Amino acid sequence: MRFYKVANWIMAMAKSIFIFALHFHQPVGQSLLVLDRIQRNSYEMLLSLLERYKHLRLTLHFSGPLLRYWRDRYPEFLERLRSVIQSSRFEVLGGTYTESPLILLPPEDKLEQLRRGRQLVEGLLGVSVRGAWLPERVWDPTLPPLLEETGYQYVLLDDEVGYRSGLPREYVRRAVLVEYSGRKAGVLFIDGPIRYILPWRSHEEVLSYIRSFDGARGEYVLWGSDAEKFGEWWERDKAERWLSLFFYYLDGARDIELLTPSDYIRRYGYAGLAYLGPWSYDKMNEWSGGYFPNFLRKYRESNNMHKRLMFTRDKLLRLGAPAEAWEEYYLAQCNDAYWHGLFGGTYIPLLRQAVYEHAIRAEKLAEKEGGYYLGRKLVIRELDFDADGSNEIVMEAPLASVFLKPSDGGTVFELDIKADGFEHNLVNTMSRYPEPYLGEGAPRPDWYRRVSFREHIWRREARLDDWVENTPFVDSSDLALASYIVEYIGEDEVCLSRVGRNWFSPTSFVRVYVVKVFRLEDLGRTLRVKYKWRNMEKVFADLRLSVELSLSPRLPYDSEALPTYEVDGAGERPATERFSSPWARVVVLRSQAAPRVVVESSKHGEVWVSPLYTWFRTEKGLRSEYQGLGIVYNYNVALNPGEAFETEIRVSW
Amino acid sequence: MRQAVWMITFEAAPLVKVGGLAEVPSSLAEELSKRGWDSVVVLPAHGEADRHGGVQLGELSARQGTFRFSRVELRRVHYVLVSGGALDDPRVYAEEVLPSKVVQFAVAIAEALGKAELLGLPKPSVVHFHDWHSVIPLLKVKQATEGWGRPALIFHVHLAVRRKLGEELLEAAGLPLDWEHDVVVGGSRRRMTLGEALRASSGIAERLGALEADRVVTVSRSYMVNELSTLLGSELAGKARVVYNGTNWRYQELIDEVLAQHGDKLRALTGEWPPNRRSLRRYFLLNALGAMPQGEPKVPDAKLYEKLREIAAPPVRDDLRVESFERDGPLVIATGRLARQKGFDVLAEAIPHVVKELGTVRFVLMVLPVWGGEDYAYQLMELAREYPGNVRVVFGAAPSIYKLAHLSADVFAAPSRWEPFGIMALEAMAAGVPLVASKVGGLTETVADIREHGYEGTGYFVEPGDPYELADRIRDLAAFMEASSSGALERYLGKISDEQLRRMLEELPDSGEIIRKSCIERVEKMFTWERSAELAEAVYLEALRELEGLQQRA
Repeated sequence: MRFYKVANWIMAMAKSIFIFALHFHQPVGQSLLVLDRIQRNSYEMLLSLLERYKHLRLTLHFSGPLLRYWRDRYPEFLERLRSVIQSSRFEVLGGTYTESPLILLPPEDKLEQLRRGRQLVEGLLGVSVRGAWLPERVWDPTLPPLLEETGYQYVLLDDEVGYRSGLPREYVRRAVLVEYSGRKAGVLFIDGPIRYILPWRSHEEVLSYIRSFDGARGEYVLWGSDAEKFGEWWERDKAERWLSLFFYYLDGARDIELLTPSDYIRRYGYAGLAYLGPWSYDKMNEWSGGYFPNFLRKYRESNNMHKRLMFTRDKLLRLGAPAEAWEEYYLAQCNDAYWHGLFGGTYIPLLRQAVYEHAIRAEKLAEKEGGYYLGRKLVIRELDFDADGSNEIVMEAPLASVFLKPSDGGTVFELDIKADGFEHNLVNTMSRYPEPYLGEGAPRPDWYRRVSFREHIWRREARLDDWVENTPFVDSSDLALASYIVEYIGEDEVCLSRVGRNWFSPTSFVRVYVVKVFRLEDLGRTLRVKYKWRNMEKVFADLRLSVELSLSPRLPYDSEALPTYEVDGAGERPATERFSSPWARVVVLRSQAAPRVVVESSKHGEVWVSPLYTWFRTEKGLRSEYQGLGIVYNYNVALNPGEAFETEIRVSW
Repeated sequence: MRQAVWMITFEAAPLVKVGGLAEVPSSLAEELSKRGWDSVVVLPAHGEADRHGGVQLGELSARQGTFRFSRVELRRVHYVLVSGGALDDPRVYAEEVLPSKVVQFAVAIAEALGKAELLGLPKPSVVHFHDWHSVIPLLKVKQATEGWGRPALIFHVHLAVRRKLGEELLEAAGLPLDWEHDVVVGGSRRRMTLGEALRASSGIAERLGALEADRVVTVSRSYMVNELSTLLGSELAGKARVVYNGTNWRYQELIDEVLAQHGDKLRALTGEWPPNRRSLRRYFLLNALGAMPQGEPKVPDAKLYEKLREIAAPPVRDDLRVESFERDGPLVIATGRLARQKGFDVLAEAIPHVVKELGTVRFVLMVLPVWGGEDYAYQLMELAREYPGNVRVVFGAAPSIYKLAHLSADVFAAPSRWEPFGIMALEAMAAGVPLVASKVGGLTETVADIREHGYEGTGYFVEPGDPYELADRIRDLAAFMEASSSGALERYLGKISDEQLRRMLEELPDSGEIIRKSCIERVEKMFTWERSAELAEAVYLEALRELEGLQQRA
């Protein structure tokens, strides 16, 4: 009898276990205006709270890019943070160096990311770390040996990963071990339901949810999510009040025990062995179609950046690149630009811009070290850059690189400007994708990737708006998406060609032979594209030949100013404006943060210029975003049988 | 006493040339002359007697008409042109006149043989008949010489077409079906009537020819084993011997000839002398190809020519001349009649695949259009129009560039569906051009696969009719040759899927040159006409010995 009483008393005294992990992150390439705002509204406020509650067993993760921002931009803040942490009972997590999506990286990079991530946190905050925060909590089953090698004992993953891998509920509320290649790592699961109530519901509801977990059985509730929910997503005053009160309640709750993951593992150990698939939180699984690398398949721009990384990596290895080059390379690996879910992600031009910027800088350092251009002005290589089974061509010069995709209209999909301080991809544009959440009535998605040197033959009645807004069937040729032949590769030029068809009616067409010769001159300051359009029929043909360019002059990080443009000296216009000139030749693009870019046709034609916008979802609702400028040269040409029309379009900076 | 051989043929170069056959009787005859034979080549004049001039030997009349004989002597060979009646029709193989031509030719030959002395021709100890057109002539010669120490009769199958011979044709030639005579089967002599022989051979010309002849000659072992044995049956196949064709192309002579033909322009373009092969190629692709003289390419059949002109469009000009390429690149050539046998349709299907992966490749197809091959002509014209940066098709004979093309080429494509011999392989190799060739017929003996022979190989075999394999091997070999000659290994290694070719290049960056040399050496060692004549003579002597034995026993 007495025994039961004691047991009941012990049961009654067993506390619910709560782990509260705040993840702080800002991406590489973040707008400094946004960064400053979040710093003011969120981080300053959170630091004050942390100072007040430093006796709580809170768990914190600060991403590498954010720590670097603080180091460079808010050193006093960082100092304050460091001193709070050192005098606190917090556990600080490590993770990757640049918050990079490990599942997209080669094993050596994964290892280096984890190693440098630990060093950065330990170095800047003066703590030693035991656990790792994985970017977007994407699990990679091959990580255990790498985690072990870099000294991490555990990671935090979402309960969804456990459920999808077939784990029963009682396992998902405990810590488990995962194994690969004979090496182990611990996993604690972030609770799904609590993410949807904390901090959006009342304290009472949140606390009573926590209390529903049975600590006696070693069950815990782990909340792990973005710190920016407090002060950025949710307005500062309300968030501060909520969190402050929550900490107060936790502090005083006698039936809830706040632990850090390390505390938990020390006390309860592991429930057993588990094997987890490459999943993440519920929404991420939905956005990615179940597998994070799918984003590379969904957005060609994402894949472009990722493969640019791989291309840079090969080059760095080959040229024995110095440490500074690798540093730049890792900075190009920050996850945010590579995917899109609730945040803008890959739709944010600055984030993509930063990826290219760091990749190009890395490459430049390697080129210099390895004497890449010794005895040659240009390097031309043919390789399957984007891993789609067809070769691309890369023309590299000391001051620019041009990436051609013969199989996609023979276009330039990347034009890297390598000038010191202005490193960027001038074709860092984004196409419009049919995002399911846009619903009906959304602007038509692009039917081709918005890149440069794509050919069309428009119908007579086609107007600028038809081009930008993708009116169906205004391009009467099959050139835009045609696979071009790499007809010739010389010392300093690449010739692509294709016989396309222009359909006057569903039953009558003319063959048009398009030859375009790309030359990169003046160390890369000028890209010259020589065109020849030839009527291959024995009949006369009246055609509206057209070349489309999409360009994105480098944007400033510290202002929202967009570029301007000028057509044939007829006044400067903001990039947000559409403009059509019946007879022009030269378009000049200006941006605060980039050298002037001149686009020039050797022959006059009708010129269209328009901003390129995409529409996408953010945490604050639908948004349209400027992605670059489209420029189209139209030439109305009457060609006799066998006759050719020649023109040249030059992009120089 | 000098022995004499008469070659009976429908065409003989340089007097009448339609296909590859024309080279054989002339070249064999020439080499046999050098070996001490008195060589006579007899052929229908096809309306060309006057053009060739020559000595009038006389006229002979028969029931079927009156025939005139004229003689042209070229390189110690007597060419006897027979005219009169259907033999004056310029359409060499036109179906409407072919039966009459065959009959009249047969009768004329038999007459001429009987009155050889009168015509001033040596009496032959061997008569060598070429292809099915000369089967009735063979029977007539056999009939005419029966009983008085007849010559050895050799029947040479270049390409078995399985032509049916009707009784009426034999009767028209004065060959009665009840004519009883000797035939040799399985080494022993038998008497049978012509009607029985015709039935025994199911009326098929080549079988009848083989039954009646003393020896059957084929152009390759593979053709004999795979084609003729089935057609003739094992008994007759016992008579079959192989005499390889040869080529009189010699590498140095080709170079001399081409430099003599194009020297000034070449010098002006390349500025180097003597030009290397890459310069030759550049000159060919960028200049000579688009500068054929008027009258080239020549399509002898006017109707066919008109038909082709109707479908011509850039880069083929209205007169079937073609435009030059604007840019240089590894060159693949192919030559031959535009007939199903030659597999140009398979090549046409392969080319887009090659171009997709190796866009710098250039194809020049030099084809001889023939009736029945119109669809292939359309297909190739379409191909040329779709790939103006990569493909040129020359419809008709183009002597001004033919040899230059060979010396400029990096790869020769021989996609034949079947090929008794395939003289084009010898021409390619003689010019130092490795082949991608169907693994069929004579090609299996003339070409040596690099996978088996390594540096002594002269090309690659592919399964006939498979455009994908053809495309892969052409791309591989073209990239290999280009890597080797340009030194741009890095650029081209990735295009080569064959491990061995890649290894060879990595081992010896000028592997392509070694392969070229192997091609040239293989021809000069094994496939000269001199070597062919040696083989032919051995067959003649064997037949004569057997004939003598049979006559003695009789």
